[in-house]
Amino acid sequence: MDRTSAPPVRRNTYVSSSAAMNGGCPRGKRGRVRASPHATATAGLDFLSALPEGILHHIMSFLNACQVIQTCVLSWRWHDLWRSVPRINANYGELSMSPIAAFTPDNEAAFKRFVNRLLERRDPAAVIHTFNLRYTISNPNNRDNDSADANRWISHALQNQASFLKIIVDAHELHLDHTVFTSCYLGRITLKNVFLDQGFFEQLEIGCPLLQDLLLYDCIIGDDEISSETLNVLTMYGCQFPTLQESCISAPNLTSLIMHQPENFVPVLDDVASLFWKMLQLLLKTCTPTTT
Amino acid sequence: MAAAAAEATTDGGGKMIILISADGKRFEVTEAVASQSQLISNMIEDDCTENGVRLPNVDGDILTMVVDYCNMHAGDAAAAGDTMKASSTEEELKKFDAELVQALENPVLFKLILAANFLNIKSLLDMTCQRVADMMSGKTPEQMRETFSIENDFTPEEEAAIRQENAWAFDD
Repeated sequence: MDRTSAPPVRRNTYVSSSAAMNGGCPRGKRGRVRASPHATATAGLDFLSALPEGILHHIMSFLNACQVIQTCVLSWRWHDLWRSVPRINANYGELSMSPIAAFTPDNEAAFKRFVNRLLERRDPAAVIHTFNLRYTISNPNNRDNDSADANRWISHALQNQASFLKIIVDAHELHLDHTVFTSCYLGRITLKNVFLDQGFFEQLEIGCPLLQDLLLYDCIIGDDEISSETLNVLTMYGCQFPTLQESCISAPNLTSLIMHQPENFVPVLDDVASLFWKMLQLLLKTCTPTTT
Repeated sequence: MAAAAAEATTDGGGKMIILISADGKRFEVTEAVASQSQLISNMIEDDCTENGVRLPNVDGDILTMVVDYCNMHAGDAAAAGDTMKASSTEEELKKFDAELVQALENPVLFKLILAANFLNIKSLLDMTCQRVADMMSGKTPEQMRETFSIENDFTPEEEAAIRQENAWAFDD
């Protein structure tokens, strides 16, 4: 992050920006802004805007959603670029300048409005290759509503051909609607602090034929059977099963299985152990696995 | 260790390829090094590298950087199966990448991005695009314009209208 030079620049440009808003900036014909002497003194040429659209989209993929949209005001070249950036990084903590600790219900509502608008105003034909969402549900009474919003966004991303999906939730857990998981593009899912009701894994098996990586952190899992023909990587870190049960994992194409501190979990590894594993890290602190 | 492996003539990696920059500079590299470019890797597969690979839109000074990068990362790719070997050079690689990318300034950085894009070297493209994103990150649109010499070609009315339309994405 190159923020070291930010404060002194901010003061200068704040003035010119407000001047521009009031029409006080010196301008040439057709309202074009003359390049300021300061700008021409450096390299002078705008190499960034000259890059092809695909590369600009790639660069914008590394920025958070708010900054991506703000580029619309740079110049005409940038005006609509944000609408089709293939990666969305929506993080509730980065929406406002206030730190996450000071996050209020108002901010939470503002974040929801922000994501809704972002998805509405994007180019509807543009692919969302990657959807990264950091979300918070601070009031358990709002869990159903908050979950419904997030589920709608996830569904939107999947309908726009998302290959990578990452949902990180702070505070109370998100109730995931597994029926949205029908996608012939989705390859990798990362979830943190999410409640996966019964039928989630079956839906993935039926609805997501290309899913290879599934990474679950601090999730609550309702299923007692995890079966997949396509999964290569399965990670369950600090996940919880509601009741003590024998849970069966059947995934013949698994090359990596990581389980760390599962609660209420007695895994039965079926149709897995006989196959070639490049890596197996079973870190079961609460129980030992039985292999059939 | 990595160098010894690359020099071994038993298979793949030992064969040399000539890369020729726009200004006629010639670079001799192993197939393993050159193959990090998906473009050249495809050319190797199609057997069309015998008379050297001409890269008419990559200058010599930029190609020097690309070749340095690929040389540095060749051991990386070759040792992918050998985790012990890979991890021993990981620190060096990180340091090399960080120094390379930090040293890049405006025109060279963008030329390198175009070269990485043309040659299709994903890791180099990601790294250089990330660098640009880092330079944009945390900046207001005005600061971005200043950093990259972006000319504001909106009329004041147009800019005000666009800001108004997208007010939901701007703080305050």
